[in-house]
Amino acid sequence: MKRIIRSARFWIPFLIATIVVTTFFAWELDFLKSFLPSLPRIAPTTEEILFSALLGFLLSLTTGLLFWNIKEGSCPIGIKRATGFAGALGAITLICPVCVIFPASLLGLGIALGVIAPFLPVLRVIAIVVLGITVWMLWPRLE
Amino acid sequence: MQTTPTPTPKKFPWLIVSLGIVVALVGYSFVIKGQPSAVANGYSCPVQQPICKGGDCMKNHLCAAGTCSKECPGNCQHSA
Repeated sequence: MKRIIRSARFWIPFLIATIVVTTFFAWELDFLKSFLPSLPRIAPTTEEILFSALLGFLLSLTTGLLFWNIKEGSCPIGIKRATGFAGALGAITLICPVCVIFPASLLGLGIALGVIAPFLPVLRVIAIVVLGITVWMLWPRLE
Repeated sequence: MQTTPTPTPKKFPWLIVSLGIVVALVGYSFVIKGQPSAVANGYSCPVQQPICKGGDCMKNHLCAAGTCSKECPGNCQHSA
């Protein structure tokens, strides 16, 4: 634990990921509409803001732990894919239920993503659980 | 001469996680199947009150952009 806290190999990726993820989620939740064109959506709910904060923290923590573990040479197989899967799933589920149809339609995925609209709450939980497992696996154990 | 066994690298438990995801989705399907309103809410505007009403439709940037125009009963149509 102390090795991680004192390691720049953890903190630099963690902070970079925090900035990137926070900026992306802020744009997705329409907080940057003064500066950037945004997706058509209504104001985010408290639940969405809390979920995005938790997701962003877990994504940043996973990124920091991932880089730290790569340097330490003990990175579990499949962790990068799991992190990417959970991050993408979380980002998709932050699009509001109705609005998911419109931007997805632009990509020709309207039907595919429109079907998942009622499942957004459970998909958010799945994204958080997968990220929780990656953090648990990347967390250094006492030897 | 003994050699130190190479530790097997850990693997992400994709099988267990995949099964968990399937169980969660199927279970949730049964939950919302018993509550038709949950499905309807998934496709309807999350705001409880119509946000675009009367002659002020275009003053609200959400209405002007067409958001929730059709999905929310009582809201103005995009062309209004």
